[in-house]
Amino acid sequence: MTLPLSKRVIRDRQIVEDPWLHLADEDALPESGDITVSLERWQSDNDALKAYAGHVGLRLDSDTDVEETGLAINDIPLIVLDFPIIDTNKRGYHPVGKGYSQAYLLRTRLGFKGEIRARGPAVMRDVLFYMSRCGINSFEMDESKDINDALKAFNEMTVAYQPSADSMQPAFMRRRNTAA
Amino acid sequence: MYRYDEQDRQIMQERVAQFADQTQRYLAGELSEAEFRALRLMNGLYFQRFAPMYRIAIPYGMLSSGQLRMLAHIAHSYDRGYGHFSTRQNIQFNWCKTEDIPKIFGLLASVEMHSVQTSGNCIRNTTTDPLAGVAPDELEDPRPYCEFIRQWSMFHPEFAYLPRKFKIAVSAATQDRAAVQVHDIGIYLVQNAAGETGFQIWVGGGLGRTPILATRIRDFLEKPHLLSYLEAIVRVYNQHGRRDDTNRARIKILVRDLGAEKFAELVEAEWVKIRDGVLKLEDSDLQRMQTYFTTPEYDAGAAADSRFAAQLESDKAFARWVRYNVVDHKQPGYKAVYISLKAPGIPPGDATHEQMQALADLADRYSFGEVRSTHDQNLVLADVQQKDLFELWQALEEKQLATANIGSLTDMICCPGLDFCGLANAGSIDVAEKLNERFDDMDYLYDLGELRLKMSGCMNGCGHHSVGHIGILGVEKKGQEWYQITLGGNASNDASLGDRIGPAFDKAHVVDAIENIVKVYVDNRESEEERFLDTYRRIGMEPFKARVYAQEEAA
Ligand code: SF4
Repeated sequence: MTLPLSKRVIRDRQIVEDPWLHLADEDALPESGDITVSLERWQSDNDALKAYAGHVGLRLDSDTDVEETGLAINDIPLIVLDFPIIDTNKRGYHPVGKGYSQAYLLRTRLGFKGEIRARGPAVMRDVLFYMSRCGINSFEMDESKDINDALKAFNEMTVAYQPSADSMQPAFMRRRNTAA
Repeated sequence: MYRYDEQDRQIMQERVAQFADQTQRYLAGELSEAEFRALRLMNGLYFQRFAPMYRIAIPYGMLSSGQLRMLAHIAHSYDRGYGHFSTRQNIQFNWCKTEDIPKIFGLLASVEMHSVQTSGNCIRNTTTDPLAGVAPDELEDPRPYCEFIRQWSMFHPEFAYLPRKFKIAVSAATQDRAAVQVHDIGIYLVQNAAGETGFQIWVGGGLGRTPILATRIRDFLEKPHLLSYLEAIVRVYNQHGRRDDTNRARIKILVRDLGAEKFAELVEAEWVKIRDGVLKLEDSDLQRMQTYFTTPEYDAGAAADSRFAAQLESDKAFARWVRYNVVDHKQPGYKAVYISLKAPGIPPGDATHEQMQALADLADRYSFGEVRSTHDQNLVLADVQQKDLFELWQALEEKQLATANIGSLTDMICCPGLDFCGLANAGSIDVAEKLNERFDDMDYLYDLGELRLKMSGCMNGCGHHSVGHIGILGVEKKGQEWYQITLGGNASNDASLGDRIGPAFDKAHVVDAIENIVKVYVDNRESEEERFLDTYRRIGMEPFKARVYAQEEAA
């Protein structure tokens, strides 16, 4: 359960050292430090986690219905969403896009203010902008990917056609103002 | 038609730059084949059997003459001189080079076109009636709503990685010319009891391996809620649709598994939470959009012309073309003209760059500079004065664009099949050609009346075979090309899926089988007015089966 120290992630469009340790369900609680656990562990190990000294974040898999967890979601500092890639019918690379809706619902419907992180093989430069529009503000990419290069993703598109969980005003609303 | 404003232009320019960068990173080895795959598909770039295929969107089938000229230029300079119009009102090029694609994308943007979301598991180009705005049986012009849908769906951050591709079609006329019920979402413009116009919503239609017709989930939706309702449907699909099996990932399977009622409940439950949110359209939004689709300046005296009637009298070939390819228009003295892309010996839906150039010129001269593409792979000049029809016909004749066969057997829908497509099991273009040779007697063809033949090179059903009056599906048996035939499919208002006639036919016998099927129809129809489809619905499969397989055994 050793973790590469000085792991880096993008948070709020900056590269930062990542304090979080993703704890597997079978791993013992460490002495200290910030950790994330799965929803199962969150539920089954709740007392121990409450007593834990560091911060505890929650990892959700992509099948979780975020509106139905029954948790006091706003007490959680970090929610990690999973972005897997599946090889359906051997037809190749198929990024699973459920996390986009999960993030959108966490931000807009549940009013979640904490950090939402995207994690998993589908997280790469070319999807960060859409992810951030859906309300994801931190990104944990595979070591093989160039994290500095990924920062460019946020400046590629400056106009949006539709509202999402971010503050970009969609084109049809902007037109209301210019036409007046 | 819709014109880009500053925002549209900027968003497209940014996308072009983004895709150019992605392509460059791929070619430089920084993006893997797999990583680039999802990105290129979302920009319409397929890697196919022989060369990349590049699919360009024609939003709801509308093209200006300038845009068509650009397509001609692309065909000429970057392809082998022609393009292929698809069943989704798009155009595809089969011989472009990957490294040229960003440049072509830039050229498209310069004429307010794009290739965004013409492939991939995202919301595709919205399609509609090719006679939108001019059809006499239309309730209201559907195009403003199509454009709202285009903008809402384009670059939608939440719905870029859906379980599977997602297609929306809109129709506002009594007769459905957009095959609405074979789409993931189908929208009919309808009137409620109070006389207000709104939308009737259907979901879960789709062809392919498991063809299913859509089910109506909402009788009436008020206009301001169009986008929020669509968003609710797609959000439910994104959360609940299957991803474990590509063949079960379309929304049609979700709707079928849950039951339409349960699915509709989920949609309504989601929708009440967003219906009065930011997606709600204001009257001013609707009005602003409608200003892009106003009627052109028609000549009020157009109907006074008497030349047209005289020309019909005196020229039989012209009269025949008018009968098959020209339809009524809501404006007196005007007609809408179908340009058949189904000339004998040419793959259905193909047009050369010279033909595109010529059509652009003819559109400028006779039809307010606009051309439309249709879901059955033809083109339309929608606003032609009747007095100009003769001249137009002559000009079209010169370019092999006046084949008078719209709605007939040789006006078939046909996918690219084995000649181009990596997924194909069998050739479709060569069968189309043989059918054309067999049915080359025009009088016989006309006598057959409306007969929709549709052909796909594999189960994916891009050629819509399941909803052909006669459907042909290419299958592979022991490395050979075989063809399954279905009868009785239909894509219009009373949509139905075709029934399989029996064992498949090999290449040598498929055309005979079709000919026999047609003979059974001719022998059994009650009158010349009874269409193939109606005869089939009346007499059933048996007589067809008996004749077709009797012949087989004798052979
Ligand atoms: S139906 Fe099959 S062969 Fe034809 S274009 Fe589609 S995938 Fe290719």
